Amino acid sequence: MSTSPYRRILDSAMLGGGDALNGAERLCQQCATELAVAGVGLTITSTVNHRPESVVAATEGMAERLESAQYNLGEGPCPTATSLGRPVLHPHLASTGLAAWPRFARVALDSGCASLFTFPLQVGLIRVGALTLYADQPRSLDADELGEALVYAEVALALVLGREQPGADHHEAAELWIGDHLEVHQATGMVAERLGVALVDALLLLRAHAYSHQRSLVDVARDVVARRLYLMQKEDG
Amino acid sequence: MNREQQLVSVFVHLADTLTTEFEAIDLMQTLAETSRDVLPVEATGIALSDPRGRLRVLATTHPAAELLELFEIQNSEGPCYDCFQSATPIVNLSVEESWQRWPQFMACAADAGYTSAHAFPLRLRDEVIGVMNLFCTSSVELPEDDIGVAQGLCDIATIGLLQERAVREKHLIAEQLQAALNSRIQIEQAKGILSERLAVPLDEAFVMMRKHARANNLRLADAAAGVIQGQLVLPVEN
Repeated sequence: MSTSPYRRILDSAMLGGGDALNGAERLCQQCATELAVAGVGLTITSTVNHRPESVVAATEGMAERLESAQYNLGEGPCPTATSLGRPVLHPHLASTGLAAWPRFARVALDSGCASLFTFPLQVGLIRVGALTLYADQPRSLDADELGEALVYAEVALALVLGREQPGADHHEAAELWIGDHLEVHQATGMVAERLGVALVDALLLLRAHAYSHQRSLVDVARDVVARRLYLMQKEDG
Repeated sequence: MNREQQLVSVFVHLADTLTTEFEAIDLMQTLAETSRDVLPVEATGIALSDPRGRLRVLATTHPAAELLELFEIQNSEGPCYDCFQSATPIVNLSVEESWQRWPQFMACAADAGYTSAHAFPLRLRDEVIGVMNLFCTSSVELPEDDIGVAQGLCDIATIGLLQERAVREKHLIAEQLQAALNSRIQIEQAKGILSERLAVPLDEAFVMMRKHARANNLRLADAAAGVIQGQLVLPVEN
């Protein structure tokens, strides 16, 4: 039975224990190795204005420097990706970077960055930050690499949101992969409205319920959508 | 409107939408509905392939819920899967052959009241980026003309998704496709909120949001954001 890419990357990030922060560090490292880029960084952004709020993790050198730069300058691919709700891909930063981010691109190019690829950590209008791959040569990501990077972003989102506990049953964590089912998003909206909480908190409540009742997220979502299940703000157990 | 008029109106709509206010998701919805209206089919859905080759729903006619399930099952079996793999239309298979090829899909479709299905590729040069799925409650064959219309509508959908015939940059295509997929999720979140707030079914919530977006020249995704952020208060229709 083959392991899904999501589960493989999550397991790998959580190998060696520690908390979600350690997981994020390992994730950046593994992503950089697997996709053969100079560095990878992960930044959380403000839900109000999408400006970088904190650098969660970054590989040493270029990524560390350029994630910090975005934080200090308040501009860069991370806030752009989060506000637009889509990846921001610059295979040739020298030709396209300065128009996008006059100050950041200058710093990036001077640091030896030749291309960058930023993936928002997002689920619809839940936007928490972004994962950026920095390369020291101009290059593109092919379809497989793009697919891989998107999974890294999904796992990064899970780490930031869910604060995956060390030693948790990763099978369940993988089941809690938000996935492609639109019912999950409908249920998220319904729970948010019903309980008067933010979308992200509604999603976390759905996940918590699924986890504690040993059910898949999509099954719980379907019950919520069909009004067979009403979640409470405080979950037992 | 006769069929010709409906098709002309789609072309005009497409021309209108190729502006900076253009929104792929809304065009997909229009194409799904137009296909259902001009072809002898009862339901339509349009799905995109993500970089991992999974089909992700972009738009469906209503009722949406049953169509979502019919798409989900097609990640491993069904006309969409075959269409995507072969990059060719899957049309007019006999009932027997359909059940033989796709037993699980056909059972699911039958549960929803459909007896046959066809799938057309959304093609960009030599790549298939998505599929349009047509569902019928009869097993009458789709005539030659209709097959041409269906593929033509798919080609429009592809142009619409990529906004420019001459898009060469793969990374721009990837950005646009991911944006459309995330917009869909945003719209579903807003549907959930509205459905709960106004005590209306999800499909109706979508129709209300779309009406409002059109009346106010808003992108559907922006109307959805407005609903989510509490800035958009929709009236209850009588």
